[in-house]
Amino acid sequence: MKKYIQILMIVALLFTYSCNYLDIVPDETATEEDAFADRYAAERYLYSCYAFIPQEANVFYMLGSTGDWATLMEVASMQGNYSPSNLSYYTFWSSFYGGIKRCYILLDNIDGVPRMDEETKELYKAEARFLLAYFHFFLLKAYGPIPIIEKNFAMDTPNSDYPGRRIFDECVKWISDMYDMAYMDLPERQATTYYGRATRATAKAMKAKLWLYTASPLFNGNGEFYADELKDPETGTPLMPLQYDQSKWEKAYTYALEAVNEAHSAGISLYMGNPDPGSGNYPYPSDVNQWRARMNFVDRANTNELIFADTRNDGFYGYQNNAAPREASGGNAWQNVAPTLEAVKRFYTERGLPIDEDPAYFSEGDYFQLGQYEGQTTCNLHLHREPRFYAWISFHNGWYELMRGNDKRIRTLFRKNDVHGKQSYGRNYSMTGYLAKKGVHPGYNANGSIINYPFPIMRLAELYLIVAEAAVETNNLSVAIEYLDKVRVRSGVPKVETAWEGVATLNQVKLRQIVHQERGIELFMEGHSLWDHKRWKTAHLYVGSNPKGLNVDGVTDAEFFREAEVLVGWKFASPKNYLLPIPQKDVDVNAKLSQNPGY
Amino acid sequence: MKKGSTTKRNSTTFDFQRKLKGKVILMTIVSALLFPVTIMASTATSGPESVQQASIKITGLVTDSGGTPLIGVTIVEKGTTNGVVTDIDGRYTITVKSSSSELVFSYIGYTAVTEQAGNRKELNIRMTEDSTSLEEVVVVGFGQQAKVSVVGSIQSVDVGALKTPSSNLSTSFAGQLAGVIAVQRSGEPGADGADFWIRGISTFGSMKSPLIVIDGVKASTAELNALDPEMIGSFSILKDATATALYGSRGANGVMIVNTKSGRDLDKAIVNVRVESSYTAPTKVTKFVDGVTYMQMFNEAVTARNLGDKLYSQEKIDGTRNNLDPYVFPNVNWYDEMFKSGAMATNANLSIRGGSKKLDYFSSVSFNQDQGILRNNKEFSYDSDLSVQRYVIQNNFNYQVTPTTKVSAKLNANLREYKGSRMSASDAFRYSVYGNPVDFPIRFPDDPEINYIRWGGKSGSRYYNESFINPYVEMVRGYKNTFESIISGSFDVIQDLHFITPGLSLNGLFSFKNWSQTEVSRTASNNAFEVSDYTWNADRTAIESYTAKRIAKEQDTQLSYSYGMNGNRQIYIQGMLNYERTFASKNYVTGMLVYTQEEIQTNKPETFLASLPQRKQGISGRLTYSYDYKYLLEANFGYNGSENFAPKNRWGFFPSVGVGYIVSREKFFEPLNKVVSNLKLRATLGMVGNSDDATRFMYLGQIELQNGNMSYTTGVQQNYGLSGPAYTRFSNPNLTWEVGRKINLGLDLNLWNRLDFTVDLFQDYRKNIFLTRQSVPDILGFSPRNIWWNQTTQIFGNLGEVENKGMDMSMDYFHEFNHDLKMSFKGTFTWATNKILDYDEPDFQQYPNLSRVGHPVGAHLMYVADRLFIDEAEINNSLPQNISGITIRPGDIKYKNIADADGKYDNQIDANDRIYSKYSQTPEIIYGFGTSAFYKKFDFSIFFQGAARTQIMMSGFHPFGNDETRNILKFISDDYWSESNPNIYAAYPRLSKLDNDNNTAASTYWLRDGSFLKLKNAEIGYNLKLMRIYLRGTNLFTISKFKHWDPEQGGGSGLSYPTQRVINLGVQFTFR
Repeated sequence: MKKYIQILMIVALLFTYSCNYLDIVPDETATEEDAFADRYAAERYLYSCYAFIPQEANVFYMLGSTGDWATLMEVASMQGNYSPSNLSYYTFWSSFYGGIKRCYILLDNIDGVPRMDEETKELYKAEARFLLAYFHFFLLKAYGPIPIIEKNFAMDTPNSDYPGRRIFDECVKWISDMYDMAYMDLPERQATTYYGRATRATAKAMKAKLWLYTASPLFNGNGEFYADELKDPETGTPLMPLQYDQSKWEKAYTYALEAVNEAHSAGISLYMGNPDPGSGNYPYPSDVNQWRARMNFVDRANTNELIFADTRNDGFYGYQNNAAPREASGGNAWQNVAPTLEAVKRFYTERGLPIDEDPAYFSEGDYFQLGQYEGQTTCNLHLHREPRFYAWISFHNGWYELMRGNDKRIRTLFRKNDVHGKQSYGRNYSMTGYLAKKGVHPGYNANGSIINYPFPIMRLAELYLIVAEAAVETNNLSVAIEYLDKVRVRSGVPKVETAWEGVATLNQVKLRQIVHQERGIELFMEGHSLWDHKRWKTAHLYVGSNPKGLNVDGVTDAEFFREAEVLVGWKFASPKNYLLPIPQKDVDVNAKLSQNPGY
Repeated sequence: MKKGSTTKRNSTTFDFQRKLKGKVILMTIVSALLFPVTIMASTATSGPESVQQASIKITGLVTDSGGTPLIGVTIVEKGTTNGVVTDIDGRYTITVKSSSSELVFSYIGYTAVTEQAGNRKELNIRMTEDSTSLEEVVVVGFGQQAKVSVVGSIQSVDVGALKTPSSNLSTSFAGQLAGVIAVQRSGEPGADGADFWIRGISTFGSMKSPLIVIDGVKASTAELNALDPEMIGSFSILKDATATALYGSRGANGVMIVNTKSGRDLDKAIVNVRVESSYTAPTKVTKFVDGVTYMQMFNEAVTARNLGDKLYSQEKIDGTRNNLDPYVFPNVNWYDEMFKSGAMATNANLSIRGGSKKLDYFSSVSFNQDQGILRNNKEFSYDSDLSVQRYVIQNNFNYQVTPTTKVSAKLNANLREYKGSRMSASDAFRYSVYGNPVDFPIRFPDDPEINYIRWGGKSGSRYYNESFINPYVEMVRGYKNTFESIISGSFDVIQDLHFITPGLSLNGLFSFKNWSQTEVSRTASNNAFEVSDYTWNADRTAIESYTAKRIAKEQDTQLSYSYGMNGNRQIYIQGMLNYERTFASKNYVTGMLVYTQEEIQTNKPETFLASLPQRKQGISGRLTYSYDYKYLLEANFGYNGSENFAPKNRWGFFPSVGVGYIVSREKFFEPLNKVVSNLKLRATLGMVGNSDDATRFMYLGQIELQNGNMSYTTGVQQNYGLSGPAYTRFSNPNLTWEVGRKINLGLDLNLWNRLDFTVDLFQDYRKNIFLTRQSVPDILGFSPRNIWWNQTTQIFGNLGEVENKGMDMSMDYFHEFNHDLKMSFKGTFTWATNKILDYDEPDFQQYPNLSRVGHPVGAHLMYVADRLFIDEAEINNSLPQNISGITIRPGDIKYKNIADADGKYDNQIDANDRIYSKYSQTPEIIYGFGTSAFYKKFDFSIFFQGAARTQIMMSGFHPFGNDETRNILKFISDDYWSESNPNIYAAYPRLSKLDNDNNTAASTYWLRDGSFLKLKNAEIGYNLKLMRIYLRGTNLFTISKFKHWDPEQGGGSGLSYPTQRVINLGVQFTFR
């Protein structure tokens, strides 16, 4: 017996060493609760919600798919080469729903943050609600009727509880109400440090934009595209409104005017800066109208026009390095942002009329005849245009205002063997013979640091144009003209009635054309064009085939000034591409989720 | 305990040597001559010798059927007391009275042999195993067991057969070890170990490889590879549940147990020396096109798609064709410039073995030096070729402290130094395709005004400092040294506790191991130049002059350095009780209970969680019972804890049982014993566990509180930036062990004491496999992503099931024609096929073809190619292929539409039209067979090895490219679609300057049968007095349908370090 006791003791000895041997992870490991440990952590959390706003100035997937310019860089989205299983750059679905979850986590946890004042908590909640609305809105404009997420779903949510798509009008109402709810606790202005975060005016303006989309042809009574498809898989109810509803335009009009009032009372006004040649810093453009167009939101210290902006910084691979003309001796300017000939033609003549409707302008056959611009040879199309054209478009023998050596502006030359020509480049050359100047700060220096500015998501000029568009559609034509003129006058363009006098009658149809063109010009290179053409149901005409440019393989003036197709393979299938594809995985796992038509 | 063992089982006295020596073989033959001491050594100990007149002196060698010397065989002159014992080399010398004297050779476990002396001076005897022996033991988990009582599937490995031309033991596994699936993917020195799996793959989790235990302690593949066969005393493979249940936490994928040799009681130490020299050369050399062909094909690729890229001018093509100037019209074969046709390697081993009753020792030093086939550059003072040097020192001591206490200490140092190019050798091969023959020379002649080398380059790249990549410069512009050491020591005490109860003993093992690695890399920048202008002579027959212009900003060309460190340390403690006793002469009982704990700490952790120790803890036990060695029963259990699970799920219990029946020991079987000397049936069933994944603490949530992607900046000055948290993993406290149920049915058969045959059928059903959840939709927001970041949040679950089944068998046959000629034959066959039964994936209701369920782990997901498009008309009449952004042209691959679940075909070819391949890259069948012959002083052997049921996917070899000017492989230029060769089944589709996903996507067009049969080894040896000289060739030829590279390297581009053909010349000495 004694022996067995001895054995047991030996065995026991072996095991006394550590019952807790496997408890390795200390309690002080970062956990999900630490994200709301104090008010600083909570503030960081709020910023991480804003992080889901897509970088608006991103040349690859936001600005890259507007149709305003052509590039070889990232073409899949413009070629229609995206599908549910190959989303290409259209990853909005995943990222916005990720942002939505994050906003709910903030709403669920913010009340428990110790030693944080209630007022700030309410502010953060309001901002989270604003973002919830904004993210849902973005999804709505991209995908049509969407699943509305109303809570933070748990990890083990059974498949049967996954939400399906809601009918479009329910989505709009939910988003609109969420903007209203956010509005209550948002401030009129954010402090200087917090500039860029949502304000009351932001909520109102974005709500107006929601209703602008809601009232537009793509979503308002679109039986043409969606009568037979896009139904709830369980009930068979059409998800898209099939009957046109005029009251949606009325709402858009009302909310847009409300937003204008809100903006005005917050001190938001059109940028009216003046050139300051005396300072010597940025003497160009010396023309006041060109200066205002060029500097509008770029003049970070003085602009007051922004209602909502992306205040992150432009990166090395950001817009400005991609847009600026190359420097022969190297540097980081890649001149990839080449406006299409359509965009070039879009700008008005100096009389404020479309080039093909201005009786005093060159006839179409003479556009590419040679002419003189400030003593150098270019073509007629570049002559006698409105100030925004000269502020934003860099053409052959036109000026580009930026810092280069001792020069503060240079002439851009685009024939094949010229300094900014195609030369032997396989990429990083202008594919159309033009470059965009808009958004490139005149202080840009290819070898220096980038001068940052907040990139607009919504500015007052756009809000005015929303009022104008809604006014046209609700037949308040004089209001439409009033708001169009605010934008035109600031840009040095003759007023609507002055310009069109004796040329055309300003009825609703004509004003619709004018307001659409005004949007295309004023918001050029701000990421709106393709979205606008989609909601007007004209996108297949706009980007359905290859864009045009000048003949960049032309060595001489005669060869160069010639309309040429830019072989980038643009395609747009209608109605398929009007809405983006929902990721295949989500359709696969969620029986309630129907795919968009055509995919 | 067949080979080389002198010990006899004694169930009550403690026998240490037996444990360390172990048993060596089940099935074998072939040229064990090499190792460890096969030489015709002379001299021998002699017993008491009666001096008589007319005596005859006879010497000889006693071996087992495989040719391995037997030590301690008793040789007695019949009818006298005259007798001797064979020495450590299996040699003996005896003086007998007359030629009519009969000699009786006897040895435990072997059938006794009687021979008449005759007039022979030399009498070599080959003894065959008495398969009914009860004395033989095999190494099993945590100890050893009488072989006869084993019911599990355990294979002892004939170490002598593991001939390794490279310095990696695992390269010899394929075809030699029944039940092991092994493939060698690379021939790179120091990285040419094989990938191996015991009985194939049973999980898609990240832990698929077997547990390796060296001298009782968990070891890495690198440590296994570093062992010279001379150092190995025993090597067992545990394949089924009874064998592996003890290693509950880690045994699910099988276990390899290796014990190093120990010393023995000898009056004179034995010294063994082997020196080997090898020449290695690639089994196949990659061939690229010449410059003229390249340019013609490039121009075709550009015009074929109407892209407007600049073409090569006719002037350049003609200039290159006529070799007018090596700088203006270069024509470089980058592969030849970067790689040699072969390299040398040296390999040496010295071991000393000896001791007394109290203390014995085994010391071994190995040295390996392998050279690579990267060319040495001529430009710099350092080498760009790689060289790997390795030293392995092993010292084992056993000391009998008291009659009942034995202490054993082992020390091992494993040092490895790698010198080479700044880039890895595999990258050098991969990069070779980036240089096309014509864009630039390697370098321009020196310019006296410039103090650095003017390397060739071409402007216009987005990368690499604006110049296209010059692969030669990438290879030579720096060098790297890596020093690695593994130092381990263990201390083992065995206390016989027979004073408590007979048959009881206690063992305690403590082991420490440290691995450390230091890497220093020195790299310089370079300046690339290109020809900007050149002038012809008057009649345009030669280049008169040219100007080379620097492409980018001038770079400093001095070396700068960077270094990295890595390492870990492991402490292992084991306490074990053993019991072993026979009751009433026929009831043989053993029992074992073991406690283990293990801790590994990383020396330089990269993350917080990695800084925490990795721990494991467990209790295991075994009980065996045998009645008269006819009816056998065995039960095992493992009870193991793992850090990877929340406390309530931490511990797993893994039982197993096995039964055996030795039919040939039955009375009724006796008449058949002449023919069937052994017939044994075995069956086992058990559970095994796995807790390991590449991810640690899988149950635990993980959050990074300030993540750069989760940041936003505000402020008028745009300077107030804050970063919020990123969720890397959500917690899952329910996570628990991955469990396997293993069933094994086996049969052992021995016929005429000549033919050994073993076959095992197995099934391994694995469930609860770790998997991150795949079926959570994006709308729940767990894993947001955009084009810049992919904020994947992992959620682990026990979510998969896999079934793996198959068989393994081995056969050995030996025949002795006469004393001069003996032959043996051996063969193995392993078949393991697996199938995923459950996987957390979308349910693919509409496209069941996308589901992984029903397919093997690692099957290729691919499009089904029909053929190439004939013309535009066909394209317009076919479904749109939505695979890439490129416009489809004639000569591009046409794919088939795949029907959905309802049998309907959609109106486009897209990612939903993919299917899984039948086989994966891992072969399902590995087999080997070979024969050896011994004729007088010569020995010959030959061994073939093959793999079957494997498919490889070719990828990444496509020429040109969006941002590149990649070279063209020869087989493409030999047969590609073009307007002039509109072959719709051409080896390569229409050329494209731009990356063309339509043609490069994984598809049946690029799927190949990876089966092969290789002449793995052929060897000839000659034995002299103290030495043996041998010449051996490895990988001599390969038969395969796949011709572009060695199919054993697997899929991809073939642009990796090729497997090597090796010729070794070696000599081995034994002194005593």
